[in-house]
Amino acid sequence: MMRIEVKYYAWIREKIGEREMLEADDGATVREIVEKLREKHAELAGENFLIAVNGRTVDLNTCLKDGDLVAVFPPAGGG
Amino acid sequence: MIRVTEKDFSIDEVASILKGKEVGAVVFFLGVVKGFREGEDVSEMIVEAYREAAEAELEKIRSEALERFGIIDAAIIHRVGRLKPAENIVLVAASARNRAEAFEACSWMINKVKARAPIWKKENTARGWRWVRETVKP
Repeated sequence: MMRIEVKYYAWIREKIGEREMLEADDGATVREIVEKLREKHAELAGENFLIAVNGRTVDLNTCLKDGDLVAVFPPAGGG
Repeated sequence: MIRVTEKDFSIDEVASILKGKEVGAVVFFLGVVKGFREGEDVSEMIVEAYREAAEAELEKIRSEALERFGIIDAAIIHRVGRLKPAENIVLVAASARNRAEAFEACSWMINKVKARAPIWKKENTARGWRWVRETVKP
């Protein structure tokens, strides 16, 4: 098993909290983590969000490593 | 020049960085906090960023603009933290030999900042705080 830290931003953070630790099978993909998060947090239903791993945006097939930091954040809204 | 900062910026400082021997035009876009939006007075705004990713995205937008429009230099500064109406939020600037490409690059960059940078705004109205959930297509 590996441990992944998940950090939330903006209105997603207000619904779920700032951060949490998740356990996942070795070699789990970003897609599997997203599925796990959607199962765990009903608040994510209908939310469109993006994922970055260690500060870089990634695709859903990316494999995660123990200790990775996964950021979950809404689409851009600055400017 | 890229910056995500709590501090206000100086347009003169950015102009002096962007000017150079071959530069004939510097175009700026300055975004400020609106004091009235969607029918309500706004008393304050909080700008939040996923800082590391926002800085990387702004740098990417700047590099793409340099290549795409053949401009000489560009700057993007985005503020974060608590801001009052009329305070500066964002500055985008492009310097070029001629004004046409500087205008085009500046307009392109602010659209990309709004569509791609992981930065969000929350505003305070008489009915409480609300997130600004405008979406701009990348």
